[in-house]
Formats: sequence, structure tokens, C-alpha cells
Amino acid sequence: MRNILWGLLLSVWVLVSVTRAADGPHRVGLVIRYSTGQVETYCVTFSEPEITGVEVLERSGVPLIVDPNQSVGTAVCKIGNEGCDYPLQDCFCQCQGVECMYWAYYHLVEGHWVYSRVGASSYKVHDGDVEGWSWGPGEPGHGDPPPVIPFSEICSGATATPTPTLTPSPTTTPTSTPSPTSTFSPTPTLSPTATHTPTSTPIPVSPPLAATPTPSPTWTAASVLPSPSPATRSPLSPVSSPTFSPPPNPTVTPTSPSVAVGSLSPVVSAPPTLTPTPTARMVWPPTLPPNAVIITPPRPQPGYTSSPRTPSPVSSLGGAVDASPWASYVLTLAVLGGVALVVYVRQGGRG
Amino acid sequence: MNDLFHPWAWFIWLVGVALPALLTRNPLYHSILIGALLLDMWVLRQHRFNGWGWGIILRLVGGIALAGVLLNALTVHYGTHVWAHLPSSWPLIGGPLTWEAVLFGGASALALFTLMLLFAVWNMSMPPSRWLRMLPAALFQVGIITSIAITFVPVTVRTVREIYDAQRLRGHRFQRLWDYVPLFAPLLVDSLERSISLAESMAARGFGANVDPTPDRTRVLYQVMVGMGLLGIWGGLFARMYWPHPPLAAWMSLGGGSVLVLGVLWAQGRRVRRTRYRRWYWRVRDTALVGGSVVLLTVTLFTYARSPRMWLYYPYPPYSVQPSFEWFIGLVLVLAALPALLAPPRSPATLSRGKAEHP
Repeated sequence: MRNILWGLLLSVWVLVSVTRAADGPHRVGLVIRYSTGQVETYCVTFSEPEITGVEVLERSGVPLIVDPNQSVGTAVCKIGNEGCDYPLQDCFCQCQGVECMYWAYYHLVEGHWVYSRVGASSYKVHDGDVEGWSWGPGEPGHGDPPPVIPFSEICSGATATPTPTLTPSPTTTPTSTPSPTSTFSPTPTLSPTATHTPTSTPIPVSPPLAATPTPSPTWTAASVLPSPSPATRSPLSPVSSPTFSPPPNPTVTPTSPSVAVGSLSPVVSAPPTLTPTPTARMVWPPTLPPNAVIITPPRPQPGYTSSPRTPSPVSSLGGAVDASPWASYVLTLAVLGGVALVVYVRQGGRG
Repeated sequence: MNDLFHPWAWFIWLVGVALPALLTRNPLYHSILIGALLLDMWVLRQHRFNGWGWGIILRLVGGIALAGVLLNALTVHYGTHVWAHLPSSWPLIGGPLTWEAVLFGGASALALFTLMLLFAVWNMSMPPSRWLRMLPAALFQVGIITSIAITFVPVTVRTVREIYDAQRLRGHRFQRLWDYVPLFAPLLVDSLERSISLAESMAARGFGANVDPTPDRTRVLYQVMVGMGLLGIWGGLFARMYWPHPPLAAWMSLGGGSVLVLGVLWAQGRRVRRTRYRRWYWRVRDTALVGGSVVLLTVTLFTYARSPRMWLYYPYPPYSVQPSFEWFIGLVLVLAALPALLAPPRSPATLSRGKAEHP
């Protein structure tokens, strides 16, 4: 009887806790700085009162490799294309000696990046926080933190509205004259169900360029911030997105936020409609010069499905089950069974 | 004499099977290894090799492995396939529970079980006296002490079982915790008696006696060489950890230190004289076992060096939760069952003894 009461009490507690957990959409900003100086920002939406730093990364949809079985918590091995391919490599493969490069973890506190004292799986993120990740030495005081971007800037365009459509204007008309104030306005309008929302907070990039822009059908829910570097920009090659259908000759009229992209003066205006998905990301600018650093969008590796974190049956693990390995496995087991039969007969049965 | 294979053949087989078992967590490969090892164990038992209480240890490891699955499932909150949520306010276990964590815990448990099974088979076939003889002569004292330490648990388990059976025959029932006192008191007495007996037998055989004393100057020279050798090894290892690309001097220090230490061991070993009462024979089946083990070892090393993804199993994103399987690796892993396949049929004596013991 006592056990039943305890069980009931526990069930009620769990129910109350779970119910209380879903108390409305919260948002957190995420800034990722790569070694090239390129910066990506994400605005991640969540319904729980708090989530961990790893969950923020996970829900942003950025390609991610972690080692969750570290003794001290979850270690972040790779973000995007930068880092270590754990478990084929050590999670800290570039931190084996005196030169130590890894994904350093920061929190934006009162306009300054603070090196995290705890791991990302232990740190609880709340509504309005901004998280930072930077590839580099990451020592407190000597690291290379990401640029300071306030929460309002990251999540400014991510107002959740009932219309899950994004209406960018993807027709670009660049000129060869440097125009440090070229602007762009993707006007992302996301539905409240999107787990993260896009922002576009470009930072200036210097030199001139002459580029022929190509309409970029990649409109996803984050922005890439070109850092001040000598790299010049040219039209960004399109990255496919199944939810975007640009017209044959789209026109983009950059408005806001502003981007200084050397000589690129994109005039973009276009009617296409984008339906952002929870894993969507925005790549900015839409065009890139020939020698510019291109940030490739997150591409799920084979076997990885970036699905929402909802309870799912075992049968759905890994999507469609590939039958060929199992056929080989069964055949190998049959060989082992044959060996067992030979051994059994040779040893004279059970004796 | 019921040794099935030459000890060195057994040793090479152990290395050949241990390498893939250590390299991967792929449950499909581990299940094949487990099947092959269970077959080996069955054949060894048919040949009346003593299990040394490994059955209980394997059950214990199985329990620990299952606990590991539970712990991993509750404490690792990473993955895309969530099957339950615990309130995030709960320390350590709060958060989403994922199938990936369950699978990784299960794969780790399976890998642990495979390794324990492998060493159970090795221990059944190779009593400590045999592998003690394989050690370098200079290390015989360390070897004896290690063998005593390693056999402590199996011998204790066997003693516990004997006392347990004896007490039950006397009508004692083990139901509550207090009922186990009659088990532990004789166990303590038996352990003390065993220790005293072991110490006396070692003293009677002159263990530790300095039969052929090393001259003082030579001993000092050896001590200096060992000290310098260890310093060189330490320096080389430190440089290797400190610099991503250590200088040549670091490798020279590591190599030179190793040569010094091994040289002293070899020189010391020459002063130890051993007598052997039982010869080891190398038979055709030993050659076959070594050949199969070398094939297993070679294929494992080659495929791992060429494409480690073949062996990889890591269910967390971005990798697949479904394990991969290469048919040729699977077939090569079946070679772990070679001892069972190559073992000669049981002799009539073994058969009759088996029937007498198990009518």
C-alpha cells in the first residue's frame, strides 16, 4: 500500500513538473565564431523554463558532434565543419599539447563575453540569454571570444507570428563599386512552432569586388556574419532548400540590416515565399566573391535526422532500416552456427 | 596432460581476439565474438578445464553492465530520439531520455561482457602457472605476486561456493542478511589459513632468497641504468604530450630509456636459473590456431587503418543508430571460435570421467 502511495506521489510530481515545464516560448541567442572569423547567429526558441547549453546548440540545427559520455559532462567536439570527428578522432584532437584549440564556451553577461566555468551540459540557459562558441584557445582572459552581439539584434527578426512564411527578396543586382552600406532585408516571419528563428546581423567586410550575383535559394533561420577580413565577396552560391522556390529572375532589395560587403551592392527584391523549418538557417550575404570564405550550410550527415525532440518509437530509429547489413549479419551468424554444429558433432555431443 | 594448445598459441589468439573487441563497440561484431567465445568455453568445459568460478564473475559483470545501461540512459541527455522526459529540475537525471543513450550504454555493456568472456576463456585454458612461465626470467618474483593477486578472486569465489554448499547440507537456510554470518566466518578462517600455507610453501621453496648475489658494483650500475632509463622514458613521454610534433630528441630519449631498462631486465634475467619439469609441445593445431589468429589480427589492423568507420558504432547524432556490418569482418571474427574447432575430440578418459562426475 505504501509503495502504491509513493508511486502515485511520484507520478503526480512528474506530471506537475512536466506540465510546469511547458510554460511558453522562450528565446535564446547563439553566436558561433569559426577560426576563419566567420560568425553565425541563431535565435533558438524553446518552451521549457530552461535548457542546457548543449540543447541550445542541438536545437539550432547546426551540424554538431559531441561526446556526451565524458566524465565531466558533454564535450563539444565539432560545430559545423570545424573541430574533431569524434569518435574517429579524439574529441580534443587539436588540444594535445602546448597548442590547444577547441570550442570555447562563453556567456554574454552585461555586454561582455564571460568564459564559462561549467560545461555546456551543466549550464542552464534562460529566456533572453546569449550563448557564444568560439574555435580557439579559449583561455579565460586570453581567448578569442565571438563578437558581442546583443540578444535584441540576434532575435530581432524572429518575431513569432502565425504565418510561417518568410518573404525575402532574392534578386540581386550588384555593382562593382564598393558600397559599405549595402543592406538586405530578409524579413523573416516565422511561425511560433519554429524552434529557432533567423536573424541577419552582418558585420562589415572590406575590399571591393565585382560579382555577378546569383539568386540564393538558401534562406534559413540564422545569419552568417562576415568578419572584418581581407576576403572579398562574390555572389554566394545557392544552397538548396526544399522550402524555397525562387522565381526565374528574382530581385532582392536589401534594406535592413545593413551589410558592408566591399563593392557588392546587391539590389534584391523578390517575391518568393519561404516556409522556415525548425532546422532552417539563414546564410548571409546571398552573394559571395570568388575568394571569399564560404560557410557551408548545415548538412546532416548520413544517418542523422534532425528531428524535433519528441518521444519516438524505437522502430523509427535511424529512419529506414537498411536491410543489407542485416542480411550479411544473418549469413555470418549462419556460418557461426555451422561451426558450432561441426564442433558439437566433433566433440561427441553433450557427452 | 590436458593442454589443448601451446601457451604461446593461446597468447597470440588472445591478442588477435582482444584487438577487435577493444577497437569497436559495434554490437553486431560483439555478438559474433560472444557466440564464438561461448563455443570455446563450451569445448573447454567438455575437456574438463576448470572454470575457476568465472560463471559467477560473468553473471556479476552482466549485472554491472545492465546497471551501466540504466545509468547511461538516465544521465546522458543527448540524442534526437526521445522516449521520456524527466523534469529538468531533477539533478543529474533530469532532462530528455533518449534511445541513443540506451543504445550506447547497451553497446558498451556488450563490449565489456565480450572482454570478460575472452579473459574467462583465457583463464580457463591457461592456469597462472603456465603464463607465469612465459614471463621474462627477471620478472619471476613480480609474476608470482601478480598471479597470487589475480587468482585471489576466483579462488575466493570457489571457496564461498564450497562453504555455501556445505552449510546448506547441514540444513542451514540463507534467507536474511544475518543468515550469511555462518558463510563469512569460515571464509575468513579459510583465507587466513590459505595465506599462511602459501607463505610457508614459498619460504620452503626459497622464494626471495639471494642465491646468486649480484656484486655491489654491478648492482649500483644496474640501479643507475634503470634510473636513467626511466628518466629517459618519462622525458620522452612528456615531450610527446607537450608538443604536437615532438622533436627528434624526444623520440631518442624514449627509445634510449626503453633500451636501458630492457637491457637491465635481460641482464638480470640471465642470472636467474630456471628448471622445468614439464615440456610444452608445439603441434599442427597450434600452427593452425596461430595462423587464424594472425589473419584475424591482420584484417583487423588493415581495415581499421584503412577505414575506421567500418568498425565505428556511435549512435549519437550525427551518426546512425543502426550499426554497420561488413560481411568479411564478420566472417573473420568467426575465427575467434578456432580453439573450439581445432580442439581434438574428447579422449575416452575424459568422457568416462565426465560421465562419472555427471551421471
